[in-house]
Amino acid sequence: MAQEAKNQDLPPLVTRKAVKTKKELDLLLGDKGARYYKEMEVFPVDTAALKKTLDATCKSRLRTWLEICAHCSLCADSCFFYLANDNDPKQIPSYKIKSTLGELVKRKGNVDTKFMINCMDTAWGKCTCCNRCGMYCPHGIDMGVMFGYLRGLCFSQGFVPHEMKIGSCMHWLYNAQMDVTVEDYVETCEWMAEENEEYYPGLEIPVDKVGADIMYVVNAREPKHYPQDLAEAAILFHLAGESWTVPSKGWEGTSLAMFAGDWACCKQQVEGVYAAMERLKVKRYVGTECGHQHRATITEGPYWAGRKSGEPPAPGLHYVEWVLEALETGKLKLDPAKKIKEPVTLQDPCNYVRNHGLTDVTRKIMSYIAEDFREMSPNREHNFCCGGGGGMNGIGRYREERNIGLKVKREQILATGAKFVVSACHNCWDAIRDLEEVYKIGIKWSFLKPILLEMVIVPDHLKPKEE
Amino acid sequence: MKKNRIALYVAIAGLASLFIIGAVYAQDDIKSLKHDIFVERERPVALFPHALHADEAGIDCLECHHIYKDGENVWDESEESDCTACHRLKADGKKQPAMRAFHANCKECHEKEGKGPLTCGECHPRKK
Amino acid sequence: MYEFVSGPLALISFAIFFVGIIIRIVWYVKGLDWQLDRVAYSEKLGAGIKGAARSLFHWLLPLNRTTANHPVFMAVTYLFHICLVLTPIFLMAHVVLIEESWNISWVTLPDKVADYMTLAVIAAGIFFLIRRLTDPNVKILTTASDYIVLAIALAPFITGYIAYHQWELGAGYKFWLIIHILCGEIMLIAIPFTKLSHFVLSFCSRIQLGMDYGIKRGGTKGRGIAW
Repeated sequence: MAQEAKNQDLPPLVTRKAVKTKKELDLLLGDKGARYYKEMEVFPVDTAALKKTLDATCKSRLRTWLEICAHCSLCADSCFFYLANDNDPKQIPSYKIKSTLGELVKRKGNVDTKFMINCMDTAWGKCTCCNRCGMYCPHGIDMGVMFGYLRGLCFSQGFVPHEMKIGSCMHWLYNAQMDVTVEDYVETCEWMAEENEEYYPGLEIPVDKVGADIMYVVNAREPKHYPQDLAEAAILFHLAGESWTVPSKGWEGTSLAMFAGDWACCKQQVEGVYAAMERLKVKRYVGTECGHQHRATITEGPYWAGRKSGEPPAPGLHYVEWVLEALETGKLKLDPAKKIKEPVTLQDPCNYVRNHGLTDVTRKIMSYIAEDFREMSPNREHNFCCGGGGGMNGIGRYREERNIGLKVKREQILATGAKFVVSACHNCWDAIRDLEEVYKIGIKWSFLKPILLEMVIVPDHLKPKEE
Repeated sequence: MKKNRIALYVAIAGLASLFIIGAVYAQDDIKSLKHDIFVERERPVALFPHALHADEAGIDCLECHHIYKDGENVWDESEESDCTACHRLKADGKKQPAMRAFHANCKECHEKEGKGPLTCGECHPRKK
Repeated sequence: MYEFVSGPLALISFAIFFVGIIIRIVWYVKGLDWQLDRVAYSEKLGAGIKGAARSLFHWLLPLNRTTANHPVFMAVTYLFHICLVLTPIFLMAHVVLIEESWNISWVTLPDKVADYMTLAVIAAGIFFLIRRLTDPNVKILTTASDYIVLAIALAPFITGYIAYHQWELGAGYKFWLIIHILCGEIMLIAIPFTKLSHFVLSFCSRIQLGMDYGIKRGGTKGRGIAW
């Protein structure tokens, strides 16, 4: 009783507005989700606002999709959650969207709290917005797009998973998915350059170099948790002789705001990156080995920023595109003797494969680095989501659902016979790591950078001088 | 011999009248439009009881039979009365193809008069 | 009665059908929004048209993974739709009526072929019905409207078959013919107002998604994706 009374005095955690202050963020971080979800259970739905949003944003494309769905169930086995849950009909993409967004639209937003919580649990806990189902629907109904939209509605009503609320708040406060400030980032860059300069003379991480050819943008996890990734990127650019830079402001390419459905925050986030591109007058953007970074900043970002061309201010490359170019032009030379001898397979991330067509780039890279490359089946744009996309990896509430979902990827990997998985995407990388942790199938996994660094031939003039 | 000649005249007249009666009867015997030009029929032969139209209903021959000269129907009983002599499978100049000519001739009249069948199966019934 | 259903009522049905589907197409296109949909429809129209054409090509022909994964169902679906659309349009009796009314005509199917196509529609419809009643995946998705829509689509074919073969079935040829025409008219009228609008909106949706992939999702990168 005393505890409850105390809770009532605390400011609410569940709010319809995005959280934009450090104080509120700390409050959210102070809770592990227990109070948050409890509050949510009695948090009212603003049906009038919901109706208004639906009227303004739910247009012919979505309404037509909902209306013409033939209820044929052909999308069922396109969804890895359906397969992983022993063909549970409740996991059919069409059923999931029909029972949530479909009902919401039918009832013109006149729904209750329980309904909205179910929407949240479906939009984040049963869909990773991998968009695979859309490729299998004879009508061309993309349920992943609709779940993205539903996430936006849920966010606007406050029904958003705890970690996603925090994620969007981070972006509002730090323009990054984690509490890494511009100063922290620049410092990390300097540190990493210093750390490795001894082995790679002349190595630098140029910050805010105006007129560089390449602006390199990262995922906040790199400076925060794996700064060596930043060093590896720097070394590879250095060895390739690239003119490159990292921006101070606008250094982060990812967007948990996209996973959260906080569209205003998405806009703010990409505009920061675009401003850096313009400020530094760079020729091209290269984003790190992260799938949703590419989707958020290069593919979807231009639209949030109101760019009619659908293009960012400078052409946007995913890291794999740069790697292939460097290999094909000979900027980076790999020692063929160091090719990976053991069987190796490749994880195709939905966000830049199915959603940006980079189907062959990674395969060509594999031909440079692997002697026994084995395709997963299905692959390329038909590949299954790793199981951790769309924010799934980070949401505690759906950990069990996520782990069940991983089974599909487990079977795919096992079928290749390879014990080594290359993944040029943070979320896929995480999911595969967790897969090993949960199912213990004896696999290794890696980004491209460490593999390349193993094999790259350092040109003589860049080698450290013998003392 | 004179008697013989008269008998011969009577016989000829009798035969002739038999022929005429036979011809008339033969005409009134028309029950359907069994024209040979319809080599491959999609539907069963159309029913057309001539007597019902000509005698009982008393429809003027010229309502259906026609040969136009200077915009006037000059058909008479000595003229061609086989519809498909002029109306062939395909349209020929101003002459409608046979099926269309029949449909127009029959259905438009049935419609106008409010009598006679209009639906496909009532004119083209399948044998039971 | 026959004159009424085959005359004014037919005209009204055709008018509702054509005006209805035009309104639906216009409404669909007007509702597209480059920023909400996040597809630069007009700025990258060329890439969009290419993507749309690619999408239509792969799905009008059975050149897609769904057909590979579900060959039986998709074969039945293709057959159903081909027969459902072609039979009434190229049926000789229909063309003859149209020619006599409006003096336009086109090639026709031999009645025998049309007869088999009608049977194919009915058989496929029964297959869909059984699937809906028995497959747990389809069952969970099914609503009453799915049955109604299936009935609306099948009724003209079943009654047309009865009328063509002049089966009496206790009511006589003329009754079944009139019912057949009414069923056809109900279907025409229902198309713009029900799920049957997928007759045109499925093309709209496919073109839209094709444009999405052609413009944004890598249509200009690599070998392009068939969606």
